[in-house]
Amino acid sequence: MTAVDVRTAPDTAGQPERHRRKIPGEVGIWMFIGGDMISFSFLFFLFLHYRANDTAGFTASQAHLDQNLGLLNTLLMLTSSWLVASGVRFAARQRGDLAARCFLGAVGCAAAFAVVKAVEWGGKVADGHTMSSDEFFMFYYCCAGIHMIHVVIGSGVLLSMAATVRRSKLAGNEQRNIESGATFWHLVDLLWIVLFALLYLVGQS
Amino acid sequence: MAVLETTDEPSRLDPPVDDVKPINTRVVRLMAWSGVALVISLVVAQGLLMRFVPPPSPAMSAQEIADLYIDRKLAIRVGTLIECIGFTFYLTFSMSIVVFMRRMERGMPVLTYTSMANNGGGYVFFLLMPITWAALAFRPETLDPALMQIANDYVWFVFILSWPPFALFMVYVALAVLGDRNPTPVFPRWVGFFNLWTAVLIIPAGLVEFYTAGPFAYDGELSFWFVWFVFFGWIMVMSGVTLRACKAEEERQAAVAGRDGAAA
Repeated sequence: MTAVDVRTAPDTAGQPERHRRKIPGEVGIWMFIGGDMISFSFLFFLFLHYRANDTAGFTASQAHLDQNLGLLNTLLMLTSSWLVASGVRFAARQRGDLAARCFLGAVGCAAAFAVVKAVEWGGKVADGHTMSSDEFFMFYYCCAGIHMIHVVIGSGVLLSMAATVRRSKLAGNEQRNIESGATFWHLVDLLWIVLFALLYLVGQS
Repeated sequence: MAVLETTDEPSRLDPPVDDVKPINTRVVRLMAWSGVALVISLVVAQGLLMRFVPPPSPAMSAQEIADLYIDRKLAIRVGTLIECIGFTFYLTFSMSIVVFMRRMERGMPVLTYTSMANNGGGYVFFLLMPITWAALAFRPETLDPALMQIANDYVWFVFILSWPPFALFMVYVALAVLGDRNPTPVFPRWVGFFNLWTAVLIIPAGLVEFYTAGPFAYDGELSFWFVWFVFFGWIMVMSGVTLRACKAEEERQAAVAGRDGAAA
């Protein structure tokens, strides 16, 4: 028995892949992503709210950040997302070997992201800017820390995806899980881009 | 038989669907409703009586904390009495979910066993809070304010820093739901993702250690309001999901009974 999506299979059999599935993954993962975006939006709103009360203080603290390191991390995140998207495409064509390499490459980007963050945080702490220095640095550490938890969880998901596609043939539900995992990784990437804009760029001319 | 979404063959160790042990849904329904009772007792006791929603600011001085307990001592005693009962329902509520997790698992029910141990320990943290508040409101006039400040901080730390076992239970629920291989899933699959989401969302609670003011302090927008809405909202949603599963189980039992009656 070949596993097919029971909800759409009967009337769409024989149609190309892109017509057969309306959304990547399954409804549940989009609910998760919607929920996570709501909570990060709340965090972003809090940041802008506190910033509005002390714009000068926030701008002064923000000047201590190295935008190049933030940009480097943005490029690492974008590269990882591109690798994950390519991996999903290879997996759909049953090229598990290439897909696994893409997913592992994305984990490599995530590891590099963490190293850059550690170097950045280490430098800030050495300069005396800790998470209790002021409100800007409170958000700087807490928001990026909450995002880093997502990076760690996402890396675990990518590793399990790499292990799954290594197996010769993907069952329908495995293909769906790969898409769900990839969708989560794109969220991790997207959240960082917003964080980069908020923490490093907002208010800088 | 309907086409399964999975290619997994049923294990021959698993009984056919009709042979699974019936669940006493009348008891489980009560247990699921006890989650709603927990939330109501929280609103009435901690919100209206004790006025601890939101918590007193961690930036308050020791004397202000002492005065607060002296002023509210009677309301705190009544409130903690109600809350001791209400918070005990965390065990009955969570076990109503675990009963259905047993249905989802095949072979050795690892997640079910782990959840039983986890929740048995977890609800002790719940009970510790009203007990500590009651002790503080017992003779607040004679207590050293500095001591009261430490004890007051401690209750909120018990409340908020004890998030990991509760988040892990959500992960166990998610693993059981997403691994459910029954032809008709016991809980819908979105419940699995919902539990993963809530597990991730209550992580920022850990930040209460670092701040006495702002969104991450124990009275803050994120570490208090957001985490509380997520956690107690989770209880309400899971009570609803479990009650729906009870209804499905009753229909299954009725169908099996009807078939047995026709065969006899």
